[in-house]
Amino acid sequence: MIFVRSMLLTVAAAILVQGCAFFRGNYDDDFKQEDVELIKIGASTRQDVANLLGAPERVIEVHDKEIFHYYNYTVKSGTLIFFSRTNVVGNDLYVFFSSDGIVEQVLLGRQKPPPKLQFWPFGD
Amino acid sequence: MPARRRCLLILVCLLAVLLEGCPLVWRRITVNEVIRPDDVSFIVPGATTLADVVKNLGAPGSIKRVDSGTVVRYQFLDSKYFTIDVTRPLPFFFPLLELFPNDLYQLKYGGGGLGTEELQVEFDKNWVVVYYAFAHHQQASRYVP
Repeated sequence: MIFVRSMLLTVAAAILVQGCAFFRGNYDDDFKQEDVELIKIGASTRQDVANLLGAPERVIEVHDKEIFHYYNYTVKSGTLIFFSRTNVVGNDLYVFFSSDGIVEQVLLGRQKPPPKLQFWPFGD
Repeated sequence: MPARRRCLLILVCLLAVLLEGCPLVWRRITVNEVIRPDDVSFIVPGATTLADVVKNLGAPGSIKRVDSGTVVRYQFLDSKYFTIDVTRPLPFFFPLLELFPNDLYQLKYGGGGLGTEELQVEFDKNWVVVYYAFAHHQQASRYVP
């Protein structure tokens, strides 16, 4: 009797979770704080930055100066029967260079917390 | 297990079977966090610098040069989408339909919206805040049958 009941509960659980999926992924890696700290303002060059962080995703020109833009995204998605919610969080890093190609400023600031794994699509 | 609870469980399972393949879907996608007016109370045009803004809000999503300076943008996107496949239960009542691809008789309704909340901050050539403004369009994100 206990075995039959357990089987029925297992079958019921399997039916209820059909169509459920949980997914996580990311575009590019997180910025490592130790790599960012190795960038020396007033000393590091474009090549030094590229050696530490790789080639930037974008190069922006502002007031005749270059800015290296790095970004990454993290995705978490949950689907439960007919509710689905996907949360994406992006983090950005900018490295400003002088007209001589020397690092003037590094913008990283407060990193956003990782996305929540949710399936409920209502509310906040 | 009490009979009432057993009946409820069977009913829920039957509902899950009937709804398999998700004929009803509420789907939501969000990108980044909302920045609220309270979060930017520290910004004082003419005094606050880019470093101050980044320290409090993090690095922006984009930086763009304009003639008078530079504009940085923080964006939050919210997309909501609802779809219903009204013909999904038909094969249960007309088993003959199983012989045909469901593309031939499928009828779906769907709709939604994409809303954005954006903070724009413009800096002068010395990276001091000139102005900041919010664009509130999050209400555009809603489930539309």
